[in-house]
Amino acid sequence: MDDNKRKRTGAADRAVIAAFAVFLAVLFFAGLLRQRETFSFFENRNLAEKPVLTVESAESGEYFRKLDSYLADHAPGRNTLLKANAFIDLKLLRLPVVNDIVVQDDILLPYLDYDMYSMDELPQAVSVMTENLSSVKDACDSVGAAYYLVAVPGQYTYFEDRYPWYLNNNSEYIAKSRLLLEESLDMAGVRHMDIGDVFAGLGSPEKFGSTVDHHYTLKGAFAAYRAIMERVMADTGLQMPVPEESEVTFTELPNLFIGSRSRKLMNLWSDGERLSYMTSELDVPFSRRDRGQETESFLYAMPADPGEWLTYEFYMGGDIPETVIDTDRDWLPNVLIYGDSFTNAVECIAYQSFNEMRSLDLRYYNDKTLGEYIREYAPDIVICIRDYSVLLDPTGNGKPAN
Amino acid sequence: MVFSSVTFLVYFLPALLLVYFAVRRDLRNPVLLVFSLIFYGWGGPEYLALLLASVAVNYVCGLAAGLSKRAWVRRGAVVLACVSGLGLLGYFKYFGFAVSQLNALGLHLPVPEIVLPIGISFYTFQGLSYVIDVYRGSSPAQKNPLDVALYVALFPQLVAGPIVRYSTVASDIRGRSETAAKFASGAVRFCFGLGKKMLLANALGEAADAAFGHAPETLGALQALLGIVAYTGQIYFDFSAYSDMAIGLGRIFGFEFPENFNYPYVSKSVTEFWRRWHISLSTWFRDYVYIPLGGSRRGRVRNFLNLAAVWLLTGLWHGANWTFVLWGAWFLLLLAGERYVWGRALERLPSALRHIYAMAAVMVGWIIFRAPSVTAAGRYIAALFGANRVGAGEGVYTLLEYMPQLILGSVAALPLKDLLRGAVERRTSGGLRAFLLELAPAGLALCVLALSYMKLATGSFNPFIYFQF
Repeated sequence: MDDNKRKRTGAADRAVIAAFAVFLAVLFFAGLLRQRETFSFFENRNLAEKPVLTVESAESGEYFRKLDSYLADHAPGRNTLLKANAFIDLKLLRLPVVNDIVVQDDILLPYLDYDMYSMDELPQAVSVMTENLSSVKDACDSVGAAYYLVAVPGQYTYFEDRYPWYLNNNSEYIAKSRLLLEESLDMAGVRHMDIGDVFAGLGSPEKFGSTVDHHYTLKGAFAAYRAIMERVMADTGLQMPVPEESEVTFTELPNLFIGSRSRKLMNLWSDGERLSYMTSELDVPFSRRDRGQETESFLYAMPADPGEWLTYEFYMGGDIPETVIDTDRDWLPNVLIYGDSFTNAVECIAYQSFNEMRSLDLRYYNDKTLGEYIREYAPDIVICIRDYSVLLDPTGNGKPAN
Repeated sequence: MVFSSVTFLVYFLPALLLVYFAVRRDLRNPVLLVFSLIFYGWGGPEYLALLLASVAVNYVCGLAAGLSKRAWVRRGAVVLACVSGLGLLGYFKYFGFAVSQLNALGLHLPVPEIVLPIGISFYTFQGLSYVIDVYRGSSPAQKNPLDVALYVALFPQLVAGPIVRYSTVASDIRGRSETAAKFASGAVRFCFGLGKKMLLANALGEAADAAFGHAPETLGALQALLGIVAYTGQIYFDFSAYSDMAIGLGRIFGFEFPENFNYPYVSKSVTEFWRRWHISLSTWFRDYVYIPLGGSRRGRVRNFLNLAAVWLLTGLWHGANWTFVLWGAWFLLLLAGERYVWGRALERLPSALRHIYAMAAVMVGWIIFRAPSVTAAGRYIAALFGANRVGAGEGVYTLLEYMPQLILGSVAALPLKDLLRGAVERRTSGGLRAFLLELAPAGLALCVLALSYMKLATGSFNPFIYFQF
């Protein structure tokens, strides 16, 4: 090797070593000095906690496994790299599914496994759910309350035709489960409503469903609310104030709605969807208690400034185990609404039709069983709101009354 | 601990480099040994004692096999090393399987739930090779127990190979030179290895898992085809990535480990494939099983039996499952067939057809290898040929979603690096040539390192496939 070549090779080696060493050194010191977070906003999950070293945990290897998870969750530059990774997949590679989210030009939908559900298990699941709902109806009957199951379309069903042909949209399973449950509930004498049919009757307007979140919009919730109230009044003969569409105003907030689709794909996916709040000519004053504690009288968790990002927790402040809204109009009936987060937007509107509106989320509420709660509270109306994807899920808000 | 973890890349490796190059030369082996034991103990400290016991047995047996003047002592030492090493391996790897097979015959024995210590198959074989080589006189017995410990426990190749002979690294252990050239080339090799794992193997693994984890009755032909193509890529890029990182890390610390892969998917026969795939295991079985049994020198029948012994052991080495036995039998059939039946006819075929034949044979082998049971392997192959009448949607999704990795993987499995290097050497000169041959690969390696770190920091934990062996 001539001298020049040797010098060149030596310089190249030193450059590689320097770059490699700097890379590792930066990671090493950044890792040691990094400020530890507890929550990943974009992934919407808690980060792994630092494990406690004990003799047992060290011996079993559990400590080291947990430490690996902790260090991985707190890797230097992780938040920036999450965005960079999503950017590459979304903009450069243009993958059809990024971070388990189906990316279409104008909508983000959840990726659904191809064998997520089994059709063979449907009859058994329908039977269990009918039994559970019948037990709630029995509890309602014991106090003279009218009980309704309200099934609502989640985003992926409402926009099922927006999936590319080769991806699963669960349409066959959802349609079959709705049909079988409807038949079964009819036989069991449990009243039910399908908001998907209501929306279809109104022409399935795009504005009823969110393009970046699993839930319906406030306008969709308003249409659902009106349909529910019409049905309840027709069935029970009760009279309640229900505002017409012309009597309400929807006001869009300027804040960015970041939705639940992995925080709108790391905030790299641009769209104009904004959240709205509703004002009504009825203008009903109310007091509010959460988890038994008096709280501020609010329906919408208003942002402090227009730069703040919003999530669906804007409605009612998110999923809360128990909320009571009292309008102090004892000539009106009392209602208990329970269900997953689909109840929240409806509750922002529905309170004005009742004397007292109570809301339970049985995923988080554990003080009493639903049956005990109904028997003690003795409301006039009980409404369960669940979306199609969990309609046959016998846990959480699908539990029996007991 | 695994190389493709934040713990290793962000904390362990920088700390080791810092300490290793800061201490005096005579302290570097102890530093490497301590870090190697931490590396191993991280995955399950309870098995550290087992590793140290293996080191102790091999050290003592090595001394006896090499230094004793009595032949029966020397032979006894080899027998003891084999019985203890293979006995432990047999207990941890095959005891539960053997009991469940006895139960299948009508017994009702409790099946023990034994966790396989990481890397036991690799370090057992390394330890045995040391004692046998000392017995044969091809390596001197090592009197310093720390050197034997470092040989067996050296972290780069401890848990997934390459299976390094003692004679290969004995001189490096005693006195090696760490140079800038070795460090740089080791770092580049490590970066490309990490990239293979993080950018290719893990993504292809997702595609393969989706197909192999599918309900067999709803697995479409296209999805099955893409699943096995993806698994073929995954197992190569995963395992060869580990070898690349091991070789690269070894070079950083002054060691030269043997190559373990040589572009196996360019093979034009199964015989050629096994000369290019997991070379350190193939040569281990050749030198310590096949040749001592007589190799091909004692007639066709004996040769077939020798091959059968090697392939039964190779299959079982990978795990206690009938799928691995069948996998070994599949390659026995192909290798014996190529040697005695269709080998000459194969050589007369056009190159492309030979390549298709070899890849088809290897991929059928991978189906058997990857499937959880022999029945599942059969159903997978049936699905591949359209036994299930299901739509192509899932297959199309897999194709579109993993297209970048399928294309990049197809390119990376070819010896393009050598072709490009040859072309550059022929057609350029001076500064451009130096840039293309020295700085460009290094720059690419550092970009790959950065992308790999991005995947590492944002992805979920993905252990290496060969950790389970």
